[in-house]
Amino acid sequence: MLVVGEAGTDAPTGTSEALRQVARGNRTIVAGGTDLMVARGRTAPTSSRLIDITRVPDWTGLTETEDHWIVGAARPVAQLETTDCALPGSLATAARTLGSPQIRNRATLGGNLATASPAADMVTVLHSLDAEVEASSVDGKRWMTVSDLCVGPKQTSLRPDQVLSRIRIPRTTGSHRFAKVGRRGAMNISIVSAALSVEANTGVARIAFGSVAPTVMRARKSEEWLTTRVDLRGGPPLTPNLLAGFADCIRSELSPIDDYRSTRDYRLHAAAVLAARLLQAACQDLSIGGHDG
Amino acid sequence: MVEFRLNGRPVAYDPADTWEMLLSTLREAFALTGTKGACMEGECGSCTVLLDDEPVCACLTPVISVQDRRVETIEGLVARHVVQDIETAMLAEGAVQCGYCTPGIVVAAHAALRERLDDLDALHERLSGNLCRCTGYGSISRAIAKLAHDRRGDT
Repeated sequence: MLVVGEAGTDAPTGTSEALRQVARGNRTIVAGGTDLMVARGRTAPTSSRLIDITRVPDWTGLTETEDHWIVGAARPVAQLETTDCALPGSLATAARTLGSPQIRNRATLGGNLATASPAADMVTVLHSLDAEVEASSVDGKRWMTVSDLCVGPKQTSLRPDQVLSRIRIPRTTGSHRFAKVGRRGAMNISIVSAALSVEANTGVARIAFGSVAPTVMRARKSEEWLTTRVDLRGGPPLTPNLLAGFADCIRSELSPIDDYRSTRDYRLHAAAVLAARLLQAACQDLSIGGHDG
Repeated sequence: MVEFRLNGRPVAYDPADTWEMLLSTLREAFALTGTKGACMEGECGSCTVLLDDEPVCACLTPVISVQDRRVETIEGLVARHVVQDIETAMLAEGAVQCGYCTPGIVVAAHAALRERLDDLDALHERLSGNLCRCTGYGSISRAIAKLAHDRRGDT
């Protein structure tokens, strides 16, 4: 067999080798490729050299520390579909409804973040979990919030020499729910997605939405509204008035747009409906009804 | 240079461009034309192959990404005689018309049938990445559901 060059140089297995290659410049990083390869030759120029980061063990693993779950950015979404590792259930729910089996076997958690789509389902969940992402380069690593990373539609704050390497999720117990509205059951891009996370001990609630703003967003006013009016640590059951109030609050905080996928009015309506359903489900999970979520 | 296992055999391939897709490599360099290209954006599943035993779209997988991995195409599955009953079941139900999507569906069905598919929804979900413009899916669904039942009966 004629051997030309060294096997696997465009898909390095070592962290430092990968970062050195990226630092050399004129490289496009690919993980699952399910977004990048669709853009290939259209919005993604192919004059650069592609570098695959999915063989770096640190960037595909799943580990637990005392305070965090740490997920490699290049970990395929399919490997988050089951909750064996006690990861929050919302992550698995979103993973199971993303794309198709073929797409989930390739698409990665980090790719969902790095493409920075305002409709990214996994990002919506990560936002609701107060997750942080790690940017690595030959100069070192640093952690940042999801909002620091996703700065605009399909825009991140990453420098060309930085690799989105890992995601860390603060360990939590409570209720973690995700729901979305789309046109069909498979391969659909969300018209609205929502993720709610409620801490069992503190009753602190976080809610994030996709497809209602230039980036995935947290509805912080609605979170505050909820925390001050509803005792999510096991207080009295929700009343229809509180649920309606929460839905109103969501509608007044979000300002989605009309586009080819849906309208502002429908998105506002769907976001409020999803939020109310998630809150009801969370109350059941947290035994403002009975059992553990 | 990319080294990987293709249908069980070790191969080495030097893509002219790092952006080359596995689909082109399979069809053009290795003459494995059972894997079809249609939408070229991961929507239709005609290019479904197994990568380390899991179904993926070859049209979205750069060939550099299969370094040290196992790729299996419809030709490999046919040669191993592991999809004969899928093909027979599809023929019996009239689940093949123009045939273009068929190899991808057979590969996806093969992967799906390794799991226990207790209900039709689960089966449909496992086949949701494959489009067929001729048959209308009813016949495909019946063929694979019947086979899932028959295979369970065998064991």
